[in-house]
Amino acid sequence: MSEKTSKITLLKDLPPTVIIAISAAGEIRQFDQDEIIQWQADGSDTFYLLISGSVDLFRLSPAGREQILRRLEAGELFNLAPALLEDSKNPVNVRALAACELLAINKEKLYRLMNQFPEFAIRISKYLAQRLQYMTDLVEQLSLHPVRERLAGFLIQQAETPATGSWTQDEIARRLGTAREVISRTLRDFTNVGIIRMERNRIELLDREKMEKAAKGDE
Amino acid sequence: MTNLILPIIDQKKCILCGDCVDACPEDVLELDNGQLVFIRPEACTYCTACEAVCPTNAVRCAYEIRWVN
Repeated sequence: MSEKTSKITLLKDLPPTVIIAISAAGEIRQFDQDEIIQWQADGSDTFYLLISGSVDLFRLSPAGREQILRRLEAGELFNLAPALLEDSKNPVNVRALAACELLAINKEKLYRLMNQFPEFAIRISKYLAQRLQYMTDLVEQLSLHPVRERLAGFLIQQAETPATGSWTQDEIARRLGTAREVISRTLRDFTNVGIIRMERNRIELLDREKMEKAAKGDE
Repeated sequence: MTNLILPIIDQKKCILCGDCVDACPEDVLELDNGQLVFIRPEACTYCTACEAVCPTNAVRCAYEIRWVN
């Protein structure tokens, strides 16, 4: 188990003794493709390290509209905040995109690990700071930028982090807070102006300068 | 033909409503023996019409996103 745990990005290059202790503190849980791992607002005191597979973190409106907040691949983690807060609830819904193996660590054990291994506690703090930055950027994207800019920015981001897998137009729409038709239309427009090429199951970005301008609304 | 990339059908999610069969402009899909199948895979243009109309997300037309240098 320690070998798998050592591949978690958060734990990279920590001493083997720390990795072994973290592995021993956790419990392995497995989920099938499309299975809901957790529902938002359910009580929770557990955080998860994603050993294998991929998941979507999302929220739902009362009308059932879905906003994908993040897609996580093996090596990442989620649900850290409720494991650090008192009487906390899951902040997001989580769905397995592919069969997943998770290491689940509860609040009590997390606190113990953080007390025992300050280097681990520092990693946790840095991770939370990164997530805060990410969520701040996401709020800006959703509230201040039109879909065209959001889509250009999303395509650049995905092209530079290929580990996040492949996306359908519907998933892109749910990630960017819009409708599939809008994504489809905007992709066609990007194709027509020659900054992307749609190649069957690939979206190829052709012109970095123009893509970056589109992302900034500076065309 | 062997390397042709096609929409991915999740038979467990498919409710055999036939909406994708009707939506496909190339008549690529058909319901056969309680399953959604490709009858003319070579004609599929990956237009994603099948995915767009599927009420259960049983058809998936996904894209890898990458730079071309």
